[in-house]
Amino acid sequence: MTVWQVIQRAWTWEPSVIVGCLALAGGYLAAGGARRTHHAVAFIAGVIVLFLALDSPLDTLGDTYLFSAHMVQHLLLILIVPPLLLLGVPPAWVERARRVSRVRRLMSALGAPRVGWGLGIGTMVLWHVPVLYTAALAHGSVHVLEHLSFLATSVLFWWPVLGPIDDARLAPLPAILYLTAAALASSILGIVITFAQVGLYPFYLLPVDRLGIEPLIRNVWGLSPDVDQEVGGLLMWIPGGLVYLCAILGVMSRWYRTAEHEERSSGSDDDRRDGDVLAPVKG
Amino acid sequence: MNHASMAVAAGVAEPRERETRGLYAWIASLDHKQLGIIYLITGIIFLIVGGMEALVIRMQLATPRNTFVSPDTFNQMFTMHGTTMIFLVVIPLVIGLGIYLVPLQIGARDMAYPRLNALGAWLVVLAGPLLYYSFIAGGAPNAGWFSYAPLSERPYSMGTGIDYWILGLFVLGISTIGAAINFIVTIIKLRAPGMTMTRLPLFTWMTFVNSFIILAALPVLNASLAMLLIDRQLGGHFFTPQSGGSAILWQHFFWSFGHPEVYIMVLPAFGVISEVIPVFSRKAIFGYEFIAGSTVAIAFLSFSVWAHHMFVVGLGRAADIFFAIASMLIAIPTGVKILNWSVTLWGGAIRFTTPMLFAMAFLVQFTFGGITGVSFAAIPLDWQVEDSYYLVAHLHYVAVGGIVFAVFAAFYYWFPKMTGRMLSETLGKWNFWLWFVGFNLTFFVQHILGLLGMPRRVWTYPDLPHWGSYNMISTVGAYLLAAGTLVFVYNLIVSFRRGAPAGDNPWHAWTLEWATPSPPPEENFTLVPPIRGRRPLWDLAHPPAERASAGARGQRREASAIGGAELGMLAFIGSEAVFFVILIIAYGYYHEAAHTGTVAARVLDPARAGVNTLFLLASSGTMWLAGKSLARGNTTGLLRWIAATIVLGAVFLFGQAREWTALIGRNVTISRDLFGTTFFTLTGFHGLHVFLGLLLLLMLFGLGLRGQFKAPRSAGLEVVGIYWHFVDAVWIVVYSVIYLWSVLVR
Repeated sequence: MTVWQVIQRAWTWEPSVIVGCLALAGGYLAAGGARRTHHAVAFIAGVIVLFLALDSPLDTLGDTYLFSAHMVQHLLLILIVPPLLLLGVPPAWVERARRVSRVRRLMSALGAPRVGWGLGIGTMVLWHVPVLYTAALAHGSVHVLEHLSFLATSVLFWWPVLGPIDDARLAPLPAILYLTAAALASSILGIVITFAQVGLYPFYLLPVDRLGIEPLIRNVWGLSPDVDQEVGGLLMWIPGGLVYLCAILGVMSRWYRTAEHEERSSGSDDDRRDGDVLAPVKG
Repeated sequence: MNHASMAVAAGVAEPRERETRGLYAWIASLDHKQLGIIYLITGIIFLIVGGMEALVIRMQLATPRNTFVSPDTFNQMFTMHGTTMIFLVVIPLVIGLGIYLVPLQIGARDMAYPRLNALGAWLVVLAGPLLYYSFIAGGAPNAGWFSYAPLSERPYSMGTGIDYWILGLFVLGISTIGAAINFIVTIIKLRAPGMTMTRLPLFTWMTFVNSFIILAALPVLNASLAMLLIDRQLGGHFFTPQSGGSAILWQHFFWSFGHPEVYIMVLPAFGVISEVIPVFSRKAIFGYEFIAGSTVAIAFLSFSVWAHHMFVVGLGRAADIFFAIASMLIAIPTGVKILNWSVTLWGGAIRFTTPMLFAMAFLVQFTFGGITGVSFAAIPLDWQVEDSYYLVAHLHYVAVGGIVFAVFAAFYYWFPKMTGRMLSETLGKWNFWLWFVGFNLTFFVQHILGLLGMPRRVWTYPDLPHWGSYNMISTVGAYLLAAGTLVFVYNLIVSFRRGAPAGDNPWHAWTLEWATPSPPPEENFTLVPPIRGRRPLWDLAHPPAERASAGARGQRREASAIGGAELGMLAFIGSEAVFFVILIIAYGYYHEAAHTGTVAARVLDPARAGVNTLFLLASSGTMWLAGKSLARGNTTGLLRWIAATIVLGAVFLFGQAREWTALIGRNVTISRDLFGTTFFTLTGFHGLHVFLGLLLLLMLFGLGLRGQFKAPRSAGLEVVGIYWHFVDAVWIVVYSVIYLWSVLVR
């Protein structure tokens, strides 16, 4: 079978995923999200990537054949979909929701950086423990739980950095530390997987070849089990890390843009009082 | 810009005269300016020493089959040359520049921790002789500046040279980490009003970002050095293949430090260039945000490219490819900077002063070295030229043609500020041209030699076509460099005595250090000028036309909620966390890798260790309660809880000691096998940290007895608390990795 044939035939068309994505997109458009174009583009892009992650051949490959494919799927769910969805939420909606006091309290509890970081990174690490990883592959319900937990906790992770509300966001320097620490954690996990002995996730050692593509994968693509595991670890480590770097650069760009705006409208000489000029030089 | 008139107008008293003069004042000094100068002088002295080592190398290599020095002497020369230039020249010079300039550039009086600053300076001064003592103690280290295992292990290096290398670098590592902590806290906490983080002079911003790289990279070196020393002196097996250790692991660890290290060296150089080029083009820097942002990208990426030093080791195609891609990516942010500097020059009114000449040579030479560096990212090419003279040429183009040229620019630019006298422009131009010609002569031909197949670190070479002539050209160039260095030192000495008076701002520059006399008074500024932008002095000379009354908005400074002492301790435990991560990785790696020997499950007692753990965790609780007591003003409670913490910590240590004696009694020692080596190293260093924590707590207890604590909170108590909780948190991880994972999941 060729690659093109795989792409044509290996879609999952999982009904719950189709319904879920349509509901998400439909609900967004119905609530009036379409009025603000750049938000809408981001949100719909997020839904599209979500659909592709969960129903495209990537899903088939990842569920049966390739650890690295499954890794790509997870990276999309953790690092690409939530940021796009968050960027698509108009601040006005969140403001409206916050007026309900119970919602506001929930938001400030869940939106705390410690919570977001801990839950996001913790969930990622937990699901890579071999016992749990294999359980997700073996039982469909656990797998659904895994994916939902990734999505939910990653939204919480990205909230202090990309959330629509300014004062719920971290200041630039703490945000950079937050993201760097996350990159470090995912890099360490990636490094462990890259250099571990083959068979960390034994499920992939002998896949059940219903599609008849194992020769394609092993011989044409060269993805033997140990290379597959290594590539999976490397994907989490380096491209994963790059996503965090892009987020850091985004934070810096927003920081300097805001600062420049304030540079232009800063005060003049006449406002200078002696008390300010005699700057309290610290000892 | 007349600073003096501002001082007079405000009616501020004259700065206090220094109470002591002469040599003692310098030795006892806590003033960042004097300490910075101590760093710089140390760097210059070792530049000469390292340069002489280079001359010996070049003399030996000038002709084929030469016998100027013996092979072993040659090995010592290139090892000491590399080690000296990196650790005793470039690092002290760039850190020293930062220590001198950062407080001035942010309008502060001194660094946040003057005593730590002094400690750092003197550690450098003493680490040099410690390393060089090896020459008379049986031979200098001779296994290359990166001391690859197993050559650096016994039985291949039986003398003490490598041990002096380890100790010297360890001391220097501590000094550098201290400087980084100091920079971070200083820049976050001590900026003058109006000096927001986005207005920082680029030299200071680069130093700030650099400090984070230092915090994350130097502890990796320290951990690796500790492991190597344990191998050599205590019979450990970390990196000895014959007993199951991994020489490749040394390479991974070393380069995880070594690659960020080169960025640690170059980022301040980038900062210097970002200051010099705008001033001598009479234009503001183009793309300030891009230079600042790309610096963060470099810092981030620098930790993900280290294995490009190991393409020939056989890591496997997948790993090689990923590291190649990352290495190509890291060229992009640097390219962004080069672009911005070049565009700054475009359309500027360029003045070819000596600092500008060095800066422009930097642009060309560093770019060239950067391009050859990216060529190494093409793995097949790397396989051909790795460890050849092509590599030597590359590294010298970036390190010397880049960094050292930038350091020269810095000297010519800031010497007037430091001493009040201008360096001679005539001598400066001689310095520059001797260096420019000499440098390119020495190192350009080495690209060709490398492509012709000449390996690095060879004592001599056969008389192959062109090898002799190119090597001779290279040696001649080295002598030009030597002459240029002599001119430089002569310039420093002569201009210090008889140079033209500089005044406050001889270059008409715009950053705050130029708003104070040359040399600055002890407190740096009598008055800090108002800061409304990235070029405070330019803004003062060009006030805005409209007079909108915008309140004191121009004077705002971002408030930082966290205290200076806490911030410093957090930075410190960040670096210690990296140290422990490396030791834990070593433990984990050897636990995973197949090896014979002691099995953790059979000799460890997780239950007993668990009880011991509870004591330590309880001590965290009592420490927290101590803080609560102080908050309520209950000083007896405070003392009681500190004492409880000490007792619980001591019980933990006692429990550890009992476990160790039991293991040693069963002949499970650090030298027995990899389990022993990794176990005792990890738990040993943790125990050491607990012990140091107990000393700190005893100090607190003593202070408490003398009534030194005032409610509701004490920075000292907070800071020791943070350290103590960190030590406990590390133990939780160590316990999980050693006892839970090893024993229960087996």
